[in-house]
Amino acid sequence: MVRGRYGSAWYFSSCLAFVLVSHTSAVSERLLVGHGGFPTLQAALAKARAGDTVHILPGVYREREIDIWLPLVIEGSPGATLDGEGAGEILRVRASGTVIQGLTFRRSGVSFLRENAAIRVEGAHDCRIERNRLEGCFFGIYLSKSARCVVQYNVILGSAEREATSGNGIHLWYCRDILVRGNHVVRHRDGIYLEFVRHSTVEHNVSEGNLRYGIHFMFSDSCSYRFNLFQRNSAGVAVMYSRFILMENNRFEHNWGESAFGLLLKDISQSHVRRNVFLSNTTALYLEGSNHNLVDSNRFHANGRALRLMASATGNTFIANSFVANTIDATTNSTFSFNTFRANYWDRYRGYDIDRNGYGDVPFHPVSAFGILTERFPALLLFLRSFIAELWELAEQVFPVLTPMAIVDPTPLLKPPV
Amino acid sequence: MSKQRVVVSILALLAACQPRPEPIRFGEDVCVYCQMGISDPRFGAELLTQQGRAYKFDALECMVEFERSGQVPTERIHSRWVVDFGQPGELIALESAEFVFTPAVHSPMGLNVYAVLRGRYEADSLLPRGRKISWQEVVELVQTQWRQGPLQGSPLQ
Repeated sequence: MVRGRYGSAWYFSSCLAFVLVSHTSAVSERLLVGHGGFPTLQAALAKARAGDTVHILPGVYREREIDIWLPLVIEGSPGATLDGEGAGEILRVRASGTVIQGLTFRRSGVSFLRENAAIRVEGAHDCRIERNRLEGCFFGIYLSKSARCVVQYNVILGSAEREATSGNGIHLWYCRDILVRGNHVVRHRDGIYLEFVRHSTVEHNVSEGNLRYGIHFMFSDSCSYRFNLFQRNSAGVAVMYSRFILMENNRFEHNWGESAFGLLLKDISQSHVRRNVFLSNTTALYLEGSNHNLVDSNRFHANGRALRLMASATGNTFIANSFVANTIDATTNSTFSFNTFRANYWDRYRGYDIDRNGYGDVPFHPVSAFGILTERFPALLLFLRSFIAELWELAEQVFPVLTPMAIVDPTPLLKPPV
Repeated sequence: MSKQRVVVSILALLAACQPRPEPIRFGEDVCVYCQMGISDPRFGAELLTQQGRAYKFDALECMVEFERSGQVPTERIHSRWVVDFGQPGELIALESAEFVFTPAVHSPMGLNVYAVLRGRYEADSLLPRGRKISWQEVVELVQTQWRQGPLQGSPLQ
C-alpha cells in the first residue's frame, strides 16, 4: 500500500513530531462506487483525496477518458467492469503511486490518430497495475515516460483480426525499471512491446496468437526477458536495435510462416541468449547485423531452419546448444563467417570419438550445400528430399565447393547437453 | 481501326509498362530493410525500380537507410512512394507528400515523422501538429539523429 510505504519512511526518521503529522493527515477513506455508493467512478474521483481507496462494486460502468490525478487505489469486486464502448481511452493514470487492481476493462476505441489504451500510465512512477482483465481493447496497458512500475497478473484478450485495427497488449514507451510479470496476452498486434526502455524485466508471461510479435524490443538496452512462453504468433519474436539484452529460459514455439521467426535478432549486440527452447518454428533463430552475442545451452527442436546467420552477423559465439530433428540445421548467405561454434550437439553428426572425451574427433559443418542454395533460391526447398539433393550433399561432403568451411564446430558433442 | 486508335492503344501499352506501386498488404508484407512485419497503416514507404520491382518498408526511416546501403543503385530507382498519414494505407508519390516531425506521433522506427499529402496538413486540423520538414531534412534526420540512437533527449535516460 502506498500509505504504508510513506508511513514507514516517516518512521525511519524516528522523529515523533513527523509521525504525528503523518498520522493526522493520513486518514485514508474507502469510497464505494455502485449499489448506493457513488454512481460512477468519475463521481467518486471528484471526492477522493490522495491515499484513498476507491472500490468499484460489480456492474458495468460506461465511462471513459477518466483521469487520475491523485495517488489512489482503484480496485474492483469481481465483475466490476469499465466499458469504453469502443471510443477513446478508459483510464489515464497521471499520479505516481497509483494502484489499479482487480478490474475488468472492455473496448477502448480503435483510432488512426490516437493509441487508445484501456489503462494508460502517463509520466507517473511507482504504479501497480495488477490482476485486471482486458477484453477487446485497442491498446491494452500503455506506459509512457514512467519508471519503477509493476504490471503483473493481468489477462489481456484482444479481438484483433487485422493488424490495422489492433494495438499492442502491453506497450512500454520511454520507460525504465518496469517489471512485467505473469501476464497473459492474446490476439493483439504485438503482445508485449518495448520502445526506448531501460533496465526492465519481462518474466513468466504467456504471449500467444498475436498478429505480429509475441514480444518486440525496439531501442531498448539493458533489459531482460525470462521464463516466458511465446507461441503461435504470426511473426514470432523480434528483438531489434538494442544492446545488453538477457534472453533466458523462454520457449519459442509453433511460429509458422514465410516471415515468421522463433526469435529474430536485428542489430543486437553484446547480448546473451541462453537456456531457451525453440520448438517447431519455420526459422528458429535469425541473426542479422548482430554482433558479439553469446548463444548457449539452447535447445533447437523440430524447426524448419534452426539457425539463419546472415553475413552481417559477426563475432557471435554458439556453445553447448542442441540441434535435434531440424529440417535444416543452419544456413547463411555468405561463404565467410566470423562466428565461433564450439561443443554443440548436432543430431546429424556422424563422426566418432575414439579418445572417448565426449567430443567428436572430426569437425562438423552444420551448413549444408543445399541449405546455401535455398538461401539464394527459396523455391528449391521443393527438392529438399529429392535424390538429386541427396547426391549433391554427398558430393559436397567429398569435394566441398559451396559449403562455407568457415562455419564449423571443431568439437561437436556426442550427447545433447540440454 | 483508325490511325488515331492505333496511336492511342500504343500509348496505352507504353503507359502500362510504367512501373506502378504495389499496394502494401498490412499484416502480411515484411519490411525489406528491418525485417519487421508492416502493420501500422499510417506509415510505410515503397521504392520502385526501373524494372518494376517494389521494395516495401514499414517506415520512411527504413527507406532512407535502404537507399543508403546501395543495394539498389540510385540510377535504377524509378520512383519513391510513401503512405499518406491522413488516408491510412494509401501510397502517394514522394513528390506530392509533405513531412511532419512531431513528438505526438510514434512512428514504427522511432523517428516520429509522418508523411501526408501536400495541403492536407493545413486542411485537416485533427492531424497531429508538429514541424513541417522537407524530404531532404527527413534524410538528414535519419542519418544524424536516428543512426546515433534516438535516445538522447529522453526525459528518463
